[in-house]
Amino acid sequence: MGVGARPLRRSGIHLLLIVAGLSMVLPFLWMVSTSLRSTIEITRDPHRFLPEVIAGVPAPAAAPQGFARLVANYVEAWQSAPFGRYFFNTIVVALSCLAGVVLTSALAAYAFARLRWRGRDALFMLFLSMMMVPEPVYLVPSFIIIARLGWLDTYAALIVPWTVNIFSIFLLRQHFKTIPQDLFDAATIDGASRFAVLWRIMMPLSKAVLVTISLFTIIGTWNSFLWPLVMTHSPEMRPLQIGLAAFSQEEGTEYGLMMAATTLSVVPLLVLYFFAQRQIIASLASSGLKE
Amino acid sequence: MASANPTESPELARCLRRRRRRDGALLYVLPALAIVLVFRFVPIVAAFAFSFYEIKMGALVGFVGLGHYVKLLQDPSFWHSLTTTLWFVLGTVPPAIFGSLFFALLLNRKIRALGFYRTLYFMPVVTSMVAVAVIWKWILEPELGILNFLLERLHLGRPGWLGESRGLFQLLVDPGGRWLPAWAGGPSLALVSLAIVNTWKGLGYNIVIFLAGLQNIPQQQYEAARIDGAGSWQLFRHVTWPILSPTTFYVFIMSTIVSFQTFSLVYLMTSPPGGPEDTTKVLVYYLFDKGFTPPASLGRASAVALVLFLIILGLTLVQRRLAERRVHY
Amino acid sequence: MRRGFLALLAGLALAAGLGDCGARREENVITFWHAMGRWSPALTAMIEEYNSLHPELPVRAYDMSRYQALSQKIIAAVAAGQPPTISQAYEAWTAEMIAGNIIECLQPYADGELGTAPLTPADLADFHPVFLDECRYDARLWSFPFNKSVRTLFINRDLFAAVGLDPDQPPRTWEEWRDASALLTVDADGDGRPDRWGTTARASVTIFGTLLLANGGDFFSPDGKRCTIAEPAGVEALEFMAELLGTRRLGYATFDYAYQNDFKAGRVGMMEGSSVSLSFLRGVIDFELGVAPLPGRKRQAALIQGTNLVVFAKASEAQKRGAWQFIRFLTNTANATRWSLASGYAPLRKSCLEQPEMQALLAATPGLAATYSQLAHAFSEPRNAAWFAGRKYLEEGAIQQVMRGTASPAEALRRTARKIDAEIAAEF
Repeated sequence: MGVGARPLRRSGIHLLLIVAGLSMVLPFLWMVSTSLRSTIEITRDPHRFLPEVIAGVPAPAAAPQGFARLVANYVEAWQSAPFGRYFFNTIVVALSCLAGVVLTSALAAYAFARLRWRGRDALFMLFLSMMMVPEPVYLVPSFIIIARLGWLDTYAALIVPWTVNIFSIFLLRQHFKTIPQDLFDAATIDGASRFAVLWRIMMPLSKAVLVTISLFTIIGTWNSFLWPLVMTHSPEMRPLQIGLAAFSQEEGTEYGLMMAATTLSVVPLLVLYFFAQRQIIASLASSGLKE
Repeated sequence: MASANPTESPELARCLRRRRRRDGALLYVLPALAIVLVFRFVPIVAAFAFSFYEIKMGALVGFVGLGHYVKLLQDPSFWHSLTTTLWFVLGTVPPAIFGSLFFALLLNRKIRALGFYRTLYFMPVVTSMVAVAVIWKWILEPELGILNFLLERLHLGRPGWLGESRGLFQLLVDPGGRWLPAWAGGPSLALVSLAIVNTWKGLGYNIVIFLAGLQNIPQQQYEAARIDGAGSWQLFRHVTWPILSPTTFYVFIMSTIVSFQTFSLVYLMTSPPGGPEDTTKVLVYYLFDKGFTPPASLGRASAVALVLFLIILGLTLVQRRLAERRVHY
Repeated sequence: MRRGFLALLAGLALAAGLGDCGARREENVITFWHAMGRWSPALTAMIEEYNSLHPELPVRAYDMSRYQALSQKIIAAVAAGQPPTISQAYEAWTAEMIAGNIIECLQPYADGELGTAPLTPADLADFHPVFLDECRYDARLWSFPFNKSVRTLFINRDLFAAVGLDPDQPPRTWEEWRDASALLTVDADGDGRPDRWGTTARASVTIFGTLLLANGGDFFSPDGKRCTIAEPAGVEALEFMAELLGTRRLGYATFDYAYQNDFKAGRVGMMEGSSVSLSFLRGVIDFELGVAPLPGRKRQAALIQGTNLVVFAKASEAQKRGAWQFIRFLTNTANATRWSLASGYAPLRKSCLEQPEMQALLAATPGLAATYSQLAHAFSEPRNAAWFAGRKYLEEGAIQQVMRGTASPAEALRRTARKIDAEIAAEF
């Protein structure tokens, strides 16, 4: 479990990681590859991996050439719908939900993990059980509530209900439980209030989990579909996934456009993740628990 | 290991009790509680209440009491969906836990290009289900997909994957269907394909969670154990596994709950949704179908929802009972 | 602590009370929900023209892109008491909505009783009868035709010519269909798998229904009490379908819309699809396309599909009258022609075919005139609850099994008919 693995074992591990990693990335590569092909090219040869534009296959005379050919789908996708607005909406909603989730999760997880109060475990079970009901079930009643609050087609409908994430509370609670009681006791004896313990001791020790929660919240809001579909009508309020869905209709998907749009929507998340997972490594360096 | 019992020291306990009265634990839970109450609890209770009414296209038509439940229990399609879901969960949760734990352990070392690998493994999580469905449908295409192309080269035949309604066991043992009875055929290959795709997509998610949990393990513990002469397996069994147990418990419960609620995967990947001869019609799809595909009966869908909820709740309680003994905090 | 709780409850009560005031009641517009996706621009153009003529009560349209999304939103909106004014709806939905007292009966409007422009005898004669009949329940009009299509045979004229078939003489009978498919199915590289196919289609109830009707059969007995798909006419229809599409010697079927890809790529000679597919195909194919009515046996039959427009009962009187006015505008000869040309949906009125632009299209597309002429004797699917319930089983159970070879047509149909009969019995 450390640095001194034997060379053979190390290269074996690398091999395994690469093979599995390839399987992870291959579909993504196919998605990008398709996004670089025109509809006619895709129809003619649906299973071709290397896009014609990269392989040097000439395009039909009437089609765009050169650089325009490469980005044709991206340009058309961007222009076919107000993607700038969709991105904006998605980002606003994602960041707002993030703030809410981190706040509510930290407070609630602390209460469930470390504080003792009547009804704690029962309430926790109640929270957990809320997760056991799939979205389509509570969709219509939620819609009724949102409609009565006058929040239909507003950011409030997309943000407020999602400022609490029970998965995150559960995860953080599990993590808080692993923090040694000694730290908690020591701080309390020193005169720290419960809030101070949470803020100054438990949160800093939980950077990895907090980053994880933040990441998952952003991904969750970024990819959410059913809820925004029902809660919004106007194009101005639509987030990304709803915009993407328009490329896929019943009688035939415009694969090239759809893959271009999907790639556009996935790349920010990947970039985000790349930096986030570095944070996890960085946080371990400063946590004081590891070498 | 941590966790001293606070009541061991009476002074400490008194000190803590005094603090408790001042801060009000409920205040910490209040923000989450408020939102959950309004946007989860009330809608869910309302949804369950719907199950006692007949609702056509959203309009309340009449009270039917337990009518929906009776029809539900008599519907062979419901029981079929239930079995399908159970198979799916069985085929998803163990690989999710052990697969992601395995890779998390591999990725938890100081190897080169660590960030690169971790991003790679996370790509499926980040790719939307729509894209994943389209891509995998192409890969698993029986006639033209790459997978069968390779399998044929290796003389391993051309399985029907998403279009194959015959069971896994049947295919392995008695493809002609001559002596194995229908009920023993096992989950259809279509369902197995979905389970594979589901695992593939969720692996990165659980890897990240395990990684976060692995950060908690103090290096000193490993050093101490190694000095005592422990090898890799003992290190894992006596240091890693116990400290990781809260995380593992979390992944176990979460994967089960989530896989019971699989919907978009089925909806997007199988045509028609519900699969060849309904062999991928998991419960939530059955529910969605009853509730939103005309004739849309929200009442009926809500009845299914309540039943599904009770099943998941029961299962989670059982899991907690079994596992919590083994979870060390 | 206790105070916190009380404050919370008070806050919730307040929010709930305020809610009704906040609920948007747009009394001065007509909200129109549709799922026309790529044809939104054409629709929007007509709406803008209407709005310039009627600025006091304009139409505001919302595109939900897909019918699935549209039905979900309707259900949610109705449950919340905030439905739109007009929406597209499949007849399955309409039947349910009538039962739920959600939509407005349009017969009084058609009769001119509410000071609205009535449907004159000339209008009634001009609309293809099958379209209006589909909108009538108990002889009263509950919805209005809008985007309709008819099942059509698409042919690859180049492939036809290549095997010696005359593209201007597409198959008109089942025998001709079978023979043409056989000629068109070619295994060029000798690997045992055809590289070009005769016919492809989606294994659906619509193609089965067309064959059933073409064979002189029907879905239900005249009194509606018995499902008759398992009678010899139906069995022969399904057997033919299995032969044409299931045995993979003359053609093949898919269970989703993927079959169109091969046709577009020039690998299949004939494709059964909706007439709307014409607009999807234009611009993505590089062979000469032809259309034709579906081959018949005992008679020529075609099934219509698509949605109609419904008006919700919860709208105000002014909104409902405005809605009717808008619907009439949308479906007058000029606009119906415009819509048909832009979207590929069928022309609703006979007078549309006389319009110059339509004439031009008919001249440019071989076989389109014959295809549209099917509308004079087209059929719509049954519209009773038993059929809606049983239809899914027919498609996903019976037809699928027959296509995969795990059930015989006779047995599959008998099972389905029994299920549907049970549903009918439950209704009575």
